[in-house]
Amino acid sequence: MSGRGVRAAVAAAASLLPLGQAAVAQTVGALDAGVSAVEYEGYLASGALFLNPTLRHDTPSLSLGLQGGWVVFESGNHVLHGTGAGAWRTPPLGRWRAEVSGSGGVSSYVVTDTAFPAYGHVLGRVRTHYGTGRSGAWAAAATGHSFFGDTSATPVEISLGAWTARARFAVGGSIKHTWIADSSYLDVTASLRWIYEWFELSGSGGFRTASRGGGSGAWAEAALQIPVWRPVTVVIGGGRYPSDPVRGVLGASYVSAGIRITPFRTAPPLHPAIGSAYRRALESRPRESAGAPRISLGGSHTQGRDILIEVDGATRVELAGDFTDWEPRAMEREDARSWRIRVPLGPGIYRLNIRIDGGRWIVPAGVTSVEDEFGSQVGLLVIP
Amino acid sequence: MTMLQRMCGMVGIAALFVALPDPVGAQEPRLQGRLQDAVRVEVDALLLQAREAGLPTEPLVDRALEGASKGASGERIVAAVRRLAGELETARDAMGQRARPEELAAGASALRAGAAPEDLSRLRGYRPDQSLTVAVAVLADLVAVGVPVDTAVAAVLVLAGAADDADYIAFRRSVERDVALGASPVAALGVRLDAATAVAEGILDQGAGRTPTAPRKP
Repeated sequence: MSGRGVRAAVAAAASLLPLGQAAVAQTVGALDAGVSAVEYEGYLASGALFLNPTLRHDTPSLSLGLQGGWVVFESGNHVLHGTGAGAWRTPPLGRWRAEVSGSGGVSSYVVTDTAFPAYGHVLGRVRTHYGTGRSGAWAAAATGHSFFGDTSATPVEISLGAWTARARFAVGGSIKHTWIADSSYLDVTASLRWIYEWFELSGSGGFRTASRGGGSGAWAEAALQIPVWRPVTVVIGGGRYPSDPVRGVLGASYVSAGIRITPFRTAPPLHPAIGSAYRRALESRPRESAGAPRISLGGSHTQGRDILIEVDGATRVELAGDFTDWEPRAMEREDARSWRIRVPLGPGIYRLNIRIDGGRWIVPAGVTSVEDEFGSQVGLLVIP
Repeated sequence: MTMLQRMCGMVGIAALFVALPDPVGAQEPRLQGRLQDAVRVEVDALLLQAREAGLPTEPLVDRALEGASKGASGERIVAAVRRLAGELETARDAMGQRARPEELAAGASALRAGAAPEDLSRLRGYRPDQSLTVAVAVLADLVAVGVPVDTAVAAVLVLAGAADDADYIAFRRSVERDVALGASPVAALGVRLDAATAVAEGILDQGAGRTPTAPRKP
């Protein structure tokens, strides 16, 4: 497992691959420390303390950065991580510019009763950027190695993005398709950064779709930075972020509060509209499922077992399977996105499909999808 | 021919009709109106053969109905039913004559996924008196999510000694989650297997009833 701190490291690494460049050379050191309440996917909620030191150096053509992290949970288990990244940009060719970058990192979830291998990644990326100082668009491709214990995978990321920036705000959006191991998914992300007189608000949100084994769903998070007195800034954040299988980040919901101490900064900040926060937001990771239907099992009753479907925006959900003689059965709406049906199910393995608003029969997330013998997919539902 | 001879002959013909399969009685009512007549005749014949062989026909009917529901051609439906009947028979041979219908259906799925009949036999050897339905279904499911067959079989066999059905389900979910997070299926299975067996050993030692992969704090 990787923690929030690892994700922060990833974000910091991504911010080393900026859209613009520093007008002059600049070196910045910072230390983030604070507390958070976090609920990782598959785990119970827990309090945590975090400590993340960061060091980065920017010039008009080069960016280098290092970040470490230590997250300690209530249980005493902790996550250690470290990430390094660098990027080199070519001189502008008209409105075009190319960039070559790389990053590597490792994280270790240290627990007392389970042998959990370390996650790690080494990635290289090329990107072309077209634009002016106020707006632009880019296309990028990245690949490398992600490892988990003794095994490794070769991820591939293809992404497109666009941004525009003004004096006090910047907005951006990106689409990224990722292939790793047996999984693939598409992430759509939007981000916003707004600088007011005495605070900075940044947020991002998006969704993962077209997923095969990578989960799916929507996510959103926001952070408020309030400079208190130099060099201390209060940082308050919260929301939900998605898993990032390439970099070993486990999805989670969280709220956090902490301080950022910036003990030294060798030059004035980067242009505020294209500074690290915006770049971090623009580059930041994916999400979880938006609108994709997910199946789960409800309780057992004398009349059978409840099957639940969660899906956004549906007006009608039908289910067909071995237990309905493959006759479509309309599910009952529970609330805005939950649907329920009670069917007789004993222990065993069942095949099923669902249909949303009269569309085609599909396999919902939450069951294993296999090829049927009729040219489509069918879900396998195992009942204990 | 005397009257007696004629009567004997008529009785013999009547007896012949009684002895022949009743084409109407052999028809599966749930298929009525769902399959074309010609397809239905072929499927009914396969059901009859399965019934005579002592195999469960419910999964075969389900498969035919699935094909009909998805608008598959009659040829494809018949082929699917025939293939499943063969897999059920192989599963029955591997899991024993006393195997229950749901066990055989799960066994057929495992065979389809790539498990060998010997794997099912070994699992039966580990759990001679317990239902194999969930264990075999999880085996089929693990293979379907990308775990190599040999690895999945080894894992299911390792758990067979101490895990109950709920443990199998929890184990399978954990592996699926790790795979979704990017771990290779083999690595995910290895990690979860280590955790499950470690806790299972503790369960045996302590007599506790804790589920190995129950959610916990990080």
